[in-house]
Amino acid sequence: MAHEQFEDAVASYAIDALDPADRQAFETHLSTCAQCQAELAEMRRVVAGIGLATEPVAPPAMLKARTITYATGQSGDDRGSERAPARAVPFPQPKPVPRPSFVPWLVAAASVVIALASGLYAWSLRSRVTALEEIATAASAQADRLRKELMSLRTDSRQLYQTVSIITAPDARQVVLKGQATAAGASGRAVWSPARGIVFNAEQLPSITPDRVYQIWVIAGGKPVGVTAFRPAPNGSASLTALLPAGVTTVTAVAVTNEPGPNGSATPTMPILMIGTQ
Amino acid sequence: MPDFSPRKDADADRQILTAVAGGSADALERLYDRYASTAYGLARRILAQPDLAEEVVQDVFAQVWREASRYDAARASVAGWIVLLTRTRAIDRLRARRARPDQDRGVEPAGVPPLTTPDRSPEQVAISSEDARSVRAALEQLPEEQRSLVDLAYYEGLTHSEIAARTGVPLGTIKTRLRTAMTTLRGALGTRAV
Repeated sequence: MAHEQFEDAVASYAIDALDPADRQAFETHLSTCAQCQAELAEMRRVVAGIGLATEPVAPPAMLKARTITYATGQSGDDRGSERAPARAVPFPQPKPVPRPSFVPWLVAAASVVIALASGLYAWSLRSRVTALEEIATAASAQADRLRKELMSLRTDSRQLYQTVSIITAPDARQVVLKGQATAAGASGRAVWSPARGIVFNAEQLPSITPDRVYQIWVIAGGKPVGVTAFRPAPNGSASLTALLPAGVTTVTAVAVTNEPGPNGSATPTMPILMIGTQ
Repeated sequence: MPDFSPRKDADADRQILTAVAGGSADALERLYDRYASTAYGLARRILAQPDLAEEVVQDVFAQVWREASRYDAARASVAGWIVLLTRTRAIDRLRARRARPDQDRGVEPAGVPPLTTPDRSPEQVAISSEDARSVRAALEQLPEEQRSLVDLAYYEGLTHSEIAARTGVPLGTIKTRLRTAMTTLRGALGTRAV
C-alpha cells in the first residue's frame, strides 16, 4: 500500500472530490494512518474556511420561525421528547367464530376505523399547520415592529448627531430670542452653523389652533427665509433641529411667526412673535 | 464577514451552544441570528434554488439542536461545525438532484454515495472568522486554473473524473492541481485559534 498515493488524495478527500472507487480505498487507508488523519484535519479547516468565506446571504425573514419550530419540535435521541402521532381508534376485536354474515361488518368497521384514524391524523396535522402559521405571522409582525423601532431609533440617533455637530461647530453662532406681542412671555434660543443646520428651543409659547403652525425664519441678506414649521408641545415648549435652506451663509436674526398649517407660508405674516438678533 | 475579535466570537458561540445543549430554544435563535446568513449563503451558492437552500438551513439547525450536547466546542468551533454541516447537506442534495433531476427530493444519489466518514465527528474543526478571511485572500490569489478547480469541486460538488470530463483537462493534472491549491490555502491558515 503506497502511502504517498494516499497522501496526494487527502486534500481531494477533504473537499469530496475523490471518485467513489478511490474514496473507498482511501477510507480504508485512513482508518489506520495517523499521518493522513492529521493532514485531513488540517484540510477540513480549509474546507470550513472556504465555506465561512463564502458571501453570506440573509434568508427570508419567515425562515427563522420555521427553522426554530422545526428544529425544537422534532424528536431526537438526545431530546427524549417524542412528538406523539395522532392516536388511532383501537381496532375492534374480531369475534372468535365469526359467521359469514359478520365478515362484511368487520370490513366495514375496519374501513371506518381507518377513515377515522386518517381523519384524526389529518386534523392533527392541520392544527399543527395552523399553529405554525400563527407563529409565523406573529414572528413576522414582531419583525415589522422591530424594524420600525430600529428605523425610529436610527432617526433619533441621526438627529442627535446633527444637533451635537451644530452645537460644536467651529462657526456656531447663537441668539437668545424674546417673545413679543401675543407671545410676550415666550423665550428661546437658537444655535446654528450654516453648513450643518440650526438647533432651536423655546418655552412658554402660547397654544395655537389646530390649523396653525409656528414658523421659524432666519434673516439672511436682509430678507426672511423660512426654515421649518412646528407645533409646540402642550406645555408650550418646542425643541428641534433642522437644516438651513441652501444658500444661507450669514444669519443676522432668527424670528418666529404664526402661520397657516401644515407647512407655513412663503413670507412671514406679521406680527413677529419671537425675535433674536445677532 | 462580520468583524469581531475571533476569541470573543468563539467564546460567545461556546456559551450559546452550551445553552442550546441545555434545551434553550432562545439560544438556538441566537445561534440562528449569528449563522443563518452564513449557512444560507453557502447553501444558495451550491444549490441556487432558494427553497432547497432553506431546507438545508432548517436541517442544519435541527441537527445542531439534536447534537449540541455531543459537540466538543472546547476543541472545535461552532462556526466550522455549521459551515461543514451546511456544505455536506447541500452537496448531497445537489448530487441527488443531478442523479434524478425529475425528483427534487431524491435521497439516493446514483453516482456518488452520500458523504460519510469513518471518524465519529467529521465536522469538528477549529476555524475562526480570521481564518476565513485568510482563506478568502489566498483563494483570490490562486492562479485562475487552480481557483476554478476549487470552485468546481467545492461549490459544484464535482469529483476528479467529472471535472476532467467537464473541462477536458487530464485526470492526473486535476489531481495534482487540486492538491496544490488546497495546500496553498492550508498554508494561509497558520496556527489554529479557537
